[in-house]
Amino acid sequence: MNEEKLLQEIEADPQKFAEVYEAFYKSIFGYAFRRTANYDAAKDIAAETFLKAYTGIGKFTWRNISILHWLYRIATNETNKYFNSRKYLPESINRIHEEYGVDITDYSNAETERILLEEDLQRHQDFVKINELMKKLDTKYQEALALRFYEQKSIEEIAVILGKKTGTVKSLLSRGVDKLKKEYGGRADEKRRS
Amino acid sequence: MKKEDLEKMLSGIDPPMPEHLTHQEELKIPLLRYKRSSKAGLWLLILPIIIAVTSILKHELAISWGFLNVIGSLIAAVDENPVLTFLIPVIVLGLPCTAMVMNLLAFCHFTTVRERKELLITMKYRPVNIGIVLLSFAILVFFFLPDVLSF
Repeated sequence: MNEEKLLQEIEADPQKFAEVYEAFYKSIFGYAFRRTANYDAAKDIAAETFLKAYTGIGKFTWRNISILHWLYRIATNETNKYFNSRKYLPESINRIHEEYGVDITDYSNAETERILLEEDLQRHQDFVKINELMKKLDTKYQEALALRFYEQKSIEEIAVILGKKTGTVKSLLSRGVDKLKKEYGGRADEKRRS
Repeated sequence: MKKEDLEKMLSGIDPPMPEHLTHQEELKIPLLRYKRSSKAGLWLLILPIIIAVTSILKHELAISWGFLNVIGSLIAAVDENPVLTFLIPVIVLGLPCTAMVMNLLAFCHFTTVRERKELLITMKYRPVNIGIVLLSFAILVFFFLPDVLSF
C-alpha cells in the first residue's frame, strides 16, 4: 500500500478511509485484545481508535511514519485510558449511538465471536499469567512491554509509536522487565506459601 | 528468576492472534458515515444575538456605549447602504432560520415505509440541538416585534 498516496486520496474522498480500516483493523483489535485480555474492552478501544483516526486523518501529516504506527499510538492512548480510569468512556462511540442509533457496544450479535476468542485466550496460559502481572505495572511500562513482546515491534518502531526517544524506550523496557520480575517473584512466593 | 530468563520467556511468549473478526463489518458503515455532531448553528447565531442584545441595551436600558452605538448606526444606515440593505435581513432572519433548520435535522430523522405508505419521524433527545432551535426561534420572534430595529 502506498500510504502517502492513500492519504492524498482520503483527503479528496474520505470514503477511501475504508482501505485503512480493512488493512489495519485486525492488528489494532488484536493489540487491544492482547493488552486488555477482554473482548468487550478491545472492541471499544479498536472502534474508538478508528473513529478518532477517521476524524483526525486530516491532521495526520505524512512524515514517513506508517499509518499503522499512528493507529498504534491512538490505540495505546485509549488502552491507557481504559486502565487508568474507573470507567472507560469511548466518547466517539457514544456519539455514533446518538446519531445513528447503532449500538456498537451491543455485544449480543458478537456473542459467538467473543466466546471463541475468550476460549482461545485460555489456551495461551503463559500469556494470560504474564498479562495479569503486567497489568499491575504503570501504563508507561505496560505499553512499552506490550509493543515489544506482544506486537514484536523494534525499539525504533516503539519510539515512533510512543513519541519517545529510543534511549527512553530502552530504559522503560529494562525497568519494566525489572518490575515484572518483582511481580513474578512475588507471585511465586505466594504460591509457595499457599 | 533472573532478568535474562524472564526476558527470554517474554521473547518466546505466544500471545493470542485473533483472526476472522466478524464484528469488523458492523463498525465499518457507521464509521464511514460519521460526522461530528453539528453545533454550527450556535456560530450562526452570534451576529443576530449581538444585534438583539444591542437593541435591548439601547432601547430598553438606554445604555449608550461605543460598541453599541456603532452597531446601532450600522443598522440605522440600512436604507441608505445597499450592502446593508441586503446584509441585515440575512443576519437577522437568514442566519437564525439556517441555524434552526440545521439543528432540527440533527435531532429529527425521516424515514419512509413504502409498503405501509408511512412517513416516520424520529426525534432524538439531543438537548444542545434542541436548545439551539429554541434560541433561533426566540431570536426570530424578537426581530419580528415592532420597533426592535429602529435605531
